[in-house]
Amino acid sequence: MKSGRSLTSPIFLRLASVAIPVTVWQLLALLFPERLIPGPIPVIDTLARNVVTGVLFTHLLDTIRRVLTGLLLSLMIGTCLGLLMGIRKFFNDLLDPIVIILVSFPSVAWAVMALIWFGLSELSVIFFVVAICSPVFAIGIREGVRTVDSDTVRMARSFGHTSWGITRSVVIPTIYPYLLAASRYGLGLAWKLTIIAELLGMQSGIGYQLGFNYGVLRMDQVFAWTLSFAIVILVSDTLFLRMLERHLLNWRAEITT
Amino acid sequence: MNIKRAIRTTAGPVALILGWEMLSVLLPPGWAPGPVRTVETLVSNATAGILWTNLADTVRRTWLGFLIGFGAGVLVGSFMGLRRLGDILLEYSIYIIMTIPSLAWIIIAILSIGPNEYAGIAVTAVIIFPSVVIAIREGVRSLDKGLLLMARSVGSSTSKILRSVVIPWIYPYMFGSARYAISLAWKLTVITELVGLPSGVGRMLDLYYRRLDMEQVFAWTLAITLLILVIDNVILKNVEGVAFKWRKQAGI
Repeated sequence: MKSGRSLTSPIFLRLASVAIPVTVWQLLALLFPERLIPGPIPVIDTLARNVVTGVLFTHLLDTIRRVLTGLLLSLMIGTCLGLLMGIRKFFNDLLDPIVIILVSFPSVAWAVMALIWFGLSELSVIFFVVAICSPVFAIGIREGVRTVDSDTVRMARSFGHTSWGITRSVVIPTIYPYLLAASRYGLGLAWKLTIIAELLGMQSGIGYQLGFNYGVLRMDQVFAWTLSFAIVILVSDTLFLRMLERHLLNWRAEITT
Repeated sequence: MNIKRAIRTTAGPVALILGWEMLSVLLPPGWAPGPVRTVETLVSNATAGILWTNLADTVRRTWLGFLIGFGAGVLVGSFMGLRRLGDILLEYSIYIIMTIPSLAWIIIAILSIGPNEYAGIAVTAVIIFPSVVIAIREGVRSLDKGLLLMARSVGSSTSKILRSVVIPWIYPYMFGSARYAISLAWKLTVITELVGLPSGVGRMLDLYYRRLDMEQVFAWTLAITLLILVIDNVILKNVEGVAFKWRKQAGI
């Protein structure tokens, strides 16, 4: 502890911090019938059975494939829009209201429309993710472009660089951290959107499993799939954060050398 | 110059509506009903009264959930920001609440609480809670420690310090997180309704999705989008203006 007056060690507190949610869960499980809230042990048991039968991996892989495809496409579209809006005031005035409307558009409505338009196909899920994530990326990138130092741009221009050259060598390096931050947020969003679409209209994936087990009132399976999903999110987010940190440190290292 | 700008800003929505109309003409019939058909459907829903009852249900659930989640978030966030012990103890709990997908919260709430009002409110409150906690904690952490020391040394009580130093300081953080939380709350309420509540905009979307009635899907989407735009951009901005009046008076 900073102040040094506490006798308890931070490691003990960290452990307590992990133990609190588990204890709360166990207590709730004791209070409610198992049909409603199963405790940690039966849930881990169910999860283990899903791993052994292989169900977990087939559905997980389907979800991951959809998330990544949607994310990459929205990254491309969102970055282009964000660059346009950040660099040219004309496009910003034109597109800003559209982006605001798209952002306040309820996500479920997109899902429902996509499913009616494209049927119960992969295309629906991907369209859904792209429709919601692209404006988010566009806004993030635009904020990044706005922080570009206008003096540097003017200098580059006075040295005779073309617009494209300036974009490549001044704008893009500046917005890189914004791009990474938006990607991290987008990744979290894409996960959640994909499972909503799967619940509404797919025959595989984590969302499908959640919806199916909700339909047949199998609470232990609902909890087990939730837990698997939470673990995957934690791992992907931690990996991403590592990547982000490493990149930022690399950049700093380049500056000092 | 200003007129030019106004033209350009209105050009966006106008282009959107025109694009929508064009899509509805180009796409096969039944894919995308145009703006006129959609507004007609919306108006007939309004005169039938089904629009208002369902909108009211959604608004009520959203705001109750938001108020509960936000209030709890401000309390816990301030606690975590002020006391390091609280921060360490609760950190993982907050992280876990955030990591569990909203859909899982929805299903768990509906199955254990039942398909009723409470489930809808609980889901919204629980999911916005961690985002508010994190924002408020950051706000409290950024508090000027010298100011706290000064207030204490002139003999102010803890409640007085909270009221006149801490709370005004975290005001901007509160508004920032409130805006984010309310926009999240709308979407969550609609999804919860769609998954399993007996009424509300989400219920209607699900109903007409099953009937493949695109006109109604568009009409309900338009209704909720307009409502969110109005509430977020007009009402919240005005509340913010009133709340920050002291800043303008203080010349900040």
